[in-house]
Amino acid sequence: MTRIFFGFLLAVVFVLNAAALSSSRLAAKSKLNLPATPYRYANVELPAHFKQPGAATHDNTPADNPLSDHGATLGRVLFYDTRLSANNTTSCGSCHVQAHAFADPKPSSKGFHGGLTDRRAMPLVNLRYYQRARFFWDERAGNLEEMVLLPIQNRLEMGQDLKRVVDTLARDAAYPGLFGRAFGDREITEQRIGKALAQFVRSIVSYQSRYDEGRAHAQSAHDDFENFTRQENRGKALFMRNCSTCHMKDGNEHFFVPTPANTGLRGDARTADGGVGDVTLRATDLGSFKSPSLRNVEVTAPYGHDGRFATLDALIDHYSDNPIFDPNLGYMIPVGPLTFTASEKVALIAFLNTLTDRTLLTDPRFSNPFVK
Amino acid sequence: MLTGVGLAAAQAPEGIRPAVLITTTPTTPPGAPRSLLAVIERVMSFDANKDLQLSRDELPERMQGIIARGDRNADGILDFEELRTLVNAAAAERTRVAFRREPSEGLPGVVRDLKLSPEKHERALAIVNAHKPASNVPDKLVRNVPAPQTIPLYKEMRLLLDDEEYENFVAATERLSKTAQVRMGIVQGIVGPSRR
Repeated sequence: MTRIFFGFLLAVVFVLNAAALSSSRLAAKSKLNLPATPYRYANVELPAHFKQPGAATHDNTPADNPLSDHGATLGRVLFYDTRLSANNTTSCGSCHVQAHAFADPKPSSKGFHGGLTDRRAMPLVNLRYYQRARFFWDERAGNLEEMVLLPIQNRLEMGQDLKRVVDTLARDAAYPGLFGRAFGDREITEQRIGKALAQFVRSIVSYQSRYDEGRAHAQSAHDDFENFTRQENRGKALFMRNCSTCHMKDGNEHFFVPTPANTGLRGDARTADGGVGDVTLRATDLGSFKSPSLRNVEVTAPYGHDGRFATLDALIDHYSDNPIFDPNLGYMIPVGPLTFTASEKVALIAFLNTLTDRTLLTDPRFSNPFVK
Repeated sequence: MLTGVGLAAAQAPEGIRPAVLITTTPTTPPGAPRSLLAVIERVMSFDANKDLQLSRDELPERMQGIIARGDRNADGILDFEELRTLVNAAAAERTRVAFRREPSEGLPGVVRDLKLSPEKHERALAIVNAHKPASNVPDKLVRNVPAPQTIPLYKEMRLLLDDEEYENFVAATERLSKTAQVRMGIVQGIVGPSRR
């Protein structure tokens, strides 16, 4: 009996040691590589068209969490740290991929145990300028500081306990110093984790696309841009005529739709997703979803909350060719199918591709700081 | 039931192509919730054990916040009455966002969007201006738009533009006429209940 007991004890000790070793190996596999002087995240000089009258009101930065270089640096480290998941496998950056404007190129994202989400991981670009400051496809998060903590605790996505995260980070060699530089003292709290992650996400601002280059030399977004081809200017004209009422409301060049919208995607037998209506419990909100910014839309496929549109062609076809009858359709599709011709669709896509910001997609400020 | 194109076509004189695509409220697709009851039914569909109460385990994680919002007796469960109260309160809230359409530039705008060569652009503008309807934009064409090939404006544009340009010109004028319908408020049903 005693032999069996000691045998069992040995097995337990072996398993625990193996787990600890595995964890330490995970940590040892990668090394934090940060510049001696932090990258610049705060007070970045934005183009003039981001400073139009009223543009400041779109900034959702709260007074108690201003963007700082050290704060966003800490947020960047947290964003890519797999220890924020229950089994040290998944970070925010696992699904929000920089090369895809921080969206997931797959229709569903894989959680820490391999489970698949029923909605896509949204692009995280220019969220700082989403005026309503409500986040997720169903806008259930009331601010960015709250939003960034929810996937960490989600049972399918990262499955982690925030208290455990705090303990883990407190024992780490680098984090107390990073928190000290970001917040003035080395205390690590759940709230500070949220604030730092929110700062990093707010720093992800796309403003160096070919659109922005052309816009800098034009009086108005409606004018032809010197750096555009005829087809791109034609696509821009089509966009301004048929899409800008929603995607560029009041000349907002972050290309957000300012409120959730029902665009006829609700007939979705696969997920039966009520979107915003499942949160507000208003009948008229059923089937409404937040729309990501169109900036970098070229690299954020597939499209829609469930990734049902594999390509931009398929997405434009939805608005162009389908008569959409839905009792909850709002202001979005006031003229029914837009019936674009084949060459109009090509021109529209040519224009949308000018919104790609290659600098952002490779900017080291937003890259994974853990190097192997 | 006659709806949409069918009704408009039935009333249109011979040789006149109807532009009004939707003239009556479209039929509701099967299962489309339109009422408070539909919301309650939808949420209660998550009641796996059919006890008319919703626990956190029964709801998708993204919906679990509604328990905290509606759980008046703080038992950690949303019962049917609590849900009904919550849904009624939500329905009483009014939300509205005003969207202002870009001012229409009418047919000259359509020509401008084609991005023709300068010479062709000038000639196209001259044709459009020569055939300009009295009210600047083709609102007068809204209810009954003659087939393009029968209108002098289109005949002249057909001679000027290549196949692709002409196809795009026709498509844009059709969209313009539909937009005008919305401004005039004659498209019903397709603009949903949030437009109040």
